[in-house]
Order: sequence, then structure tokens, then C-alpha cells
Amino acid sequence: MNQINFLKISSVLKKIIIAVTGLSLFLFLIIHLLGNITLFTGNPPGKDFNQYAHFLESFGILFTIAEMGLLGFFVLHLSTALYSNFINTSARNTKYAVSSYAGGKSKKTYGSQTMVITGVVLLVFLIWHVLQFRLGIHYDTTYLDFNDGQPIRDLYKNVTQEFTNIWVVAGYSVAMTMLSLHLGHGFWSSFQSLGIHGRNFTRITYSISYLLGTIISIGFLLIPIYIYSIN
Amino acid sequence: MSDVISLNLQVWKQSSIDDPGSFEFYSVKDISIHISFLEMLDVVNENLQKEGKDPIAFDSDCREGICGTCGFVIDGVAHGPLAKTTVCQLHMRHFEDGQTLVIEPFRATPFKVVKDLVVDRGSFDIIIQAGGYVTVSTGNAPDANNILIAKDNAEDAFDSAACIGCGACVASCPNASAALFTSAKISHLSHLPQGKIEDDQRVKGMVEAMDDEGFGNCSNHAECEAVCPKGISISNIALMRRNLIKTIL
Repeated sequence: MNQINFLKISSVLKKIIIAVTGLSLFLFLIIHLLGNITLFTGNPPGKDFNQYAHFLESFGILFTIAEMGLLGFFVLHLSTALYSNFINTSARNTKYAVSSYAGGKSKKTYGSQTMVITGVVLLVFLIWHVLQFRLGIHYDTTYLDFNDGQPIRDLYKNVTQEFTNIWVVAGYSVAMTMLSLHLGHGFWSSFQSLGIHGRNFTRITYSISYLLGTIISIGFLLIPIYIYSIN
Repeated sequence: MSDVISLNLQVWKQSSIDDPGSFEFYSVKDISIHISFLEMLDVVNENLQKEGKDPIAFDSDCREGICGTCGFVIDGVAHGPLAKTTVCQLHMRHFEDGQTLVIEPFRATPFKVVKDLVVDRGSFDIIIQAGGYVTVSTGNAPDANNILIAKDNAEDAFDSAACIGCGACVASCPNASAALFTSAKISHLSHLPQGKIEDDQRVKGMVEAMDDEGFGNCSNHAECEAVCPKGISISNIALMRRNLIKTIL
């Protein structure tokens, strides 16, 4: 009985969990994208990026806690969404023969109906992405004017190695398309899930949602394309 | 322009709750464009009965678009292609001659198909019983305007109260969620001083009943608002969520 009660989270609370974790992950993406600008700067190429990566790692235990927190948010976001989806599927045992879009005030889009699919593809991408870079081969490099000339991780080498492979660039293009669809529904929807609704507020967040998703995805995608084109 | 049209109807036929059901094809001719969709079905049924065949079962009552009894899905859209209209107020002039229409009952696990296009929406009553009311002492009716209500609040409450409980929101929701119906009933009372005082127990009880009945979770597709014959806004769903957050905090 206790276990059943534990699993029985109200539908509204589930959406709140998905919204809070989703918005936090959205914020992380923005910071991640801003940090990655260092890939385009620095002389020699990669110096700024390696120094930025070293700066993050220098936080030691705090950095690990942040990473674990991020992982926790991912797990919570994904598991709550999958659990919701399971209930949603069983809420309509007999499917419609014809399904359509009512138009007008409807916000039902291709993106909104494929959140689980795009989400799971992004999970697979994320595991691949972490294995490629965070847990990738550890190269060392030294800069005379940085860290007293002591060696630091040459993460830029991993980046250039991976992104000179056209298939990796293609894989990232697919993943970023999924991200734009996912954020397109996710951004405005998070506010609605938290009960933040206003005639103008909702109109604005909804209209910029897909735009934001596309801008962020293109921003990330510029990296593999840029690295591929200069090598 | 001719005043009559012909239609090809593919209608869901199901003899009882346990019958798996299937589509049946009807070719109908000489339908006046001035009659409503339900009246068109009346014509079809009259002809079927003359032929000694089983008529198409569907629910209807007021036929003025205010009772919430009628409703089914036409070509994948609950209450058909016209916005803010129930099928009883949907007229045949909105269809083209020779058009093929697929007519299905509202589909959701909590809404059992009783026969053909008739569904049991008793789950909505259970949600209402869980808090969709104001607890008042019985006795004489209180004086009018004894409790003053600001015009904006009265308007908002009335907008939510316009919900006729037809179930189109559930039928159109990709997740078969009853969030729009439940939240309309919650907001209606929450906007008024008489209902406000019971906000906490109402939102907890009604959301729990909604989940227990087996409806899905709202994923903010807003398809419900688009098909709602009364144009109930998803702002009601946001209010329901705010009220529930308040009970947690």
C-alpha cells in the first residue's frame, strides 16, 4: 500500500517536476552554449576553451556536486515524463481512426506530440556526448603563461578529433534538430505547467518558444560545422 | 447553389460496452444544408428504420448548444470543424457535397462507449462530487448582493462556469486528460468569495478524483481549448496548478 501511495503523484505535481527540472536544464544549456563560445576564440586555437574547461574543473568537489545535481535533474525529468507518458497511453485504450488538428487556439504541434521521442533521442545523444568529451581520452597540453606552465587537459584536441568525422557532425545535426523541437514545446509549456499564465505572457512565450529552440540548436550546431570546416 | 448535399458517412457502430465495434458505411443523399448535424443523423436514422435497420445511437438533449449532452468526433476533431460549436449547432452548410466524414465516439478509457456514439461520462460526476460545489447551510435563500463581487471576478467566474461538461476536451486531448473540465469547475468557484474559502480541499479532491478515474496528464497541447464549444481557456488549467501549488507551500 505504501509503495502505491508513493508512486501516486498527482498529475499536476508531475508536470511541476517536469517543468522545474526542464527549465533548469534549459538554463544549463544557455550557460553551456555561452561557455562554448571560447571554442571560436583563443590563440593558438583551443587555448581559451582549454583554460575555461580547466577553470571549471578547478572547483574540485563543487564541480562534482554540480555535475551530480545536473545528472539528478536529468533523471528526474526523464523518469517523471516517462511515467506520465505511461499513464497517458493507458488513458486512451482505443485509438481514433482519424486524428487531426483543430487549429485556432490549439498549440498541438508536431513537436508537442513527439516530446517523448525527441527526449529519448536526446538521452542517447547525451550519453554519447559525455562519453566523447567528459569521459573521452585525456590529452595533456601546456601553456607557458597559464597554470605556471603545468600541463592541463587538452579537451580541444578531443573536440577537433571528433568533429573532423562527418558522421559525428551528421549525428549532432540530428540531435540538435530534436533539441529544437523539444525546447520549442518545452519552454512555453514549462511556465503553463507552473501555473504562470497571462494573456500576453503566454502569447509571447509561445511565440518565441520554437524560435528560442531553433536559435539554441543552431548555436550548438555551429561548433561541429565550424570545427569540421577549418580542419 | 443547391440546397441539398450528399455525404458518405463512416460511423462507429458498437452494440454494447463489451462489443469490440467497427465502422459502418452509409451513403446519404438529399440532405438539406439548413439542418444541423444531429438533424442530418435523424434523417439517416429515419431512413434506416424504414429499411428495418438498426439506427445510429447518439446522445442529444437541448439541441441549443447549452446542455453538453451531444458530442462526437468528426474527421478527428471533437464537435466537428467549426470552432465554439457543439454538433447540434453545427449546420450542414459547413460541409461539401460528396464529402466523406468519419464519425467516432469520444475516446478515453474512463469514457466507456455504451452504444455507437453514446459514451458514459459518469467520471465527470465523480470529479464534481470530489469538490465541485460550495458547502452552504440550507435554509432561506440569502439576500441578493449580500456578498459584493467585483465585476472582473464575476466575469472570470462566469467564463469558467460556461463549461457545459460535454467532454470534448478529454476527447481531443492527445493524452485524454480532463484538466480543462476539472480546472474550469475549480476556477469558477475559486473566483467567487463563496467558493474561495474551500479552494484547498476542492483542488486536492478534484485533482485526485480526476487522476483516480484514469484520465491522462495534461501536456499543454491546448487542443482542448480549440475544440471547446464554450471556448474555455487553458488559463483555467494554470489557475488549478497555482491553487494546488498553494496547498503544498
